[in-house]
Amino acid sequence: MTLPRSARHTLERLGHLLLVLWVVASLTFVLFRLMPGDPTLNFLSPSFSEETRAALLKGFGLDRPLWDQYLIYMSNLLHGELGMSFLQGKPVAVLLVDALPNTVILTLVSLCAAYAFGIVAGAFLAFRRGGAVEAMAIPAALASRAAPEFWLGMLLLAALSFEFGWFPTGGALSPGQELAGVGARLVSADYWWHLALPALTLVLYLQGLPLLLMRATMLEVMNDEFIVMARMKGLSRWSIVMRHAARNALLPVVTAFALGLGASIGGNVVVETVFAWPGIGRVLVQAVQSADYPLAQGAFILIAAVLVTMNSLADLVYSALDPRVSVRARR
Amino acid sequence: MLLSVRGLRVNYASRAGVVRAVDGMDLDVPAGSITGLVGESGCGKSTLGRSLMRVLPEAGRIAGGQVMFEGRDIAALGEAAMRAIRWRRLAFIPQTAMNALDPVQRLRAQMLEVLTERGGLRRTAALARAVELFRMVGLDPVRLADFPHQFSGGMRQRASIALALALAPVLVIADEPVTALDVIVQRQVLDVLRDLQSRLNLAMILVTHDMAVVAYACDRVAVMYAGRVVEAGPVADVLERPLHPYTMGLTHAFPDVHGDMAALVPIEGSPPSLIDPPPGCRFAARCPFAQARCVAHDPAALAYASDHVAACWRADEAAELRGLAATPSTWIAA
Repeated sequence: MTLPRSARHTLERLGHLLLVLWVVASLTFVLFRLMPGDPTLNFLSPSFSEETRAALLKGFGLDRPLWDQYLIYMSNLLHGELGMSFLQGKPVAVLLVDALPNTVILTLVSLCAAYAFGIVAGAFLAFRRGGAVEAMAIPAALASRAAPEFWLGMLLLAALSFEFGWFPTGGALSPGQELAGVGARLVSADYWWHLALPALTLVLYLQGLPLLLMRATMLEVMNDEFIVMARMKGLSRWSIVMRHAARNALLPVVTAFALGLGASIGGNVVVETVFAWPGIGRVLVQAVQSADYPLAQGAFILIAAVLVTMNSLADLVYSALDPRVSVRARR
Repeated sequence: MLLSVRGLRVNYASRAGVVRAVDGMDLDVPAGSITGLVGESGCGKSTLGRSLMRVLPEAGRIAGGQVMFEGRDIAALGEAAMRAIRWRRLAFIPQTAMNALDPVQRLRAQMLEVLTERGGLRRTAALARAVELFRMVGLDPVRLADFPHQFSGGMRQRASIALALALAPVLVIADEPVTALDVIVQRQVLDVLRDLQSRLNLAMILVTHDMAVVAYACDRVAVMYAGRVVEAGPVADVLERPLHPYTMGLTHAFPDVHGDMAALVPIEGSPPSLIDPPPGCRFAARCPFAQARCVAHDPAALAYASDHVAACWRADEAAELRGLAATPSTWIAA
């Protein structure tokens, strides 16, 4: 095999990724079977006879040995078959595919805004080190990072929606509107208007990490010998800061971004609930509340898959940015 | 004289007080020769190199004195005028090439940056010049596509030399350029430096703590102790007929060029604090020949032979003291 090392590295990562996904799927299978009771208790009214219950279990394949169930489950999973939602009577896959874009848009928009702000503000604070600006900005960044998301969200709702009426109180669209595709959502002003508050809440929550990380790494990098050399070369301040300092200081921030992307797709549960944002997080909460096992199971697997994929992506992006981490090619 | 330093003082602010890292330093660097600047750690030799570039750490500042370079006092120059000189007239080869090169940029990008932004070359001309520079220092131009971490220590040092020579400066300050390298590579890098210096008729200040490096590569030498030059002159004079006891001690404190390890004699003790230095000769406390006047009064730097300067009360008796200094017991008793 004479694959280039970078390709081998990527394939290796892909192998790890598939392994982790298989473990996650198996754990989910086991967890849902360890839960007390059986699905029919929620699904059927008590007036149903024992025969009907048995027939239903048979229909779902729940009378088979566990091993068989596992194989059926895995094979269905591979075909993208996640079962039917007990409550909504629609295929789980359809419900998830419907909710996923909302979560992804919310996450991407707020994460990008938070990191853009955090990187610029962090770099700026590194320059104004020890000044009055720093004395105000760092506690503020820390406070909004430390405040609970639901509390921040409720404050914003109370002030900007209920008090001033500038923003809607929840949902993704005004009543009566319906948009099917992702593209239609992205060009709809109404959609963005609904997105503003949940996204702002997330930005406030997320900006602290990139800001403090960027500031710390900038301060560290600015003391590095190659920055001293850049000054000796008489390079412009712009070249020194942008081409050398920021480029090097960005490395850990980019990793944090990719990790944050994975984490917040799963972690948006709170914000989506506060703002009734129809994303994966809210689907998950509703499914758990109403014991809609297939839907909850599907949401779990989807969130886990996104998280694991993002972690692997972070790894690949990092090796692309920092040549020292990447495979030692070219000799 | 290409560079003429007079009474230069450089201070560092520290919690314990003001550290006078360079304290009344005189140094002359003629055009087209290598001047060694030698001394032990903390004597201010690296600080001097960095103050010539006017790139000091945050706490450091030039507190007084003159640095005449090409007819201008660069200690008093405005920042914009200083920036115009940096790298074009005055370049720097750093101590450890590892971190001195930006780790996330290919060597090509780092060469082009200097050649285009500072040298005003177009991209194609700059690329051709980069290839030429790599050849000059003995690197394969193919390696321009590499990152610094793909280079060995010696190659990184060569790359740093190529960078320093990019804009054809007249004076290059090399701060411990071979310290981190093993002896064989040291010699190769010194050969590259010496060869380029004579071919390009450069002036160079070679900062080092190693007398062997001075003996091998330099034309002139200035010996620094506790923030000052205590002795300066042509290498042959200073090494063979040292006038200052510190220089005598240094020549014994390093392995002989011919490998006589038995003659290795350290100078006991350590340099005085530079926060509140003693009033007399700064070497007096470690000097085996110190007298009452050495402790009380600071000796002035005087010329004892043509072009051979020393700051020692007993420089007139140097011939006799050299005899005593050759005996190891002299230094152990002190």
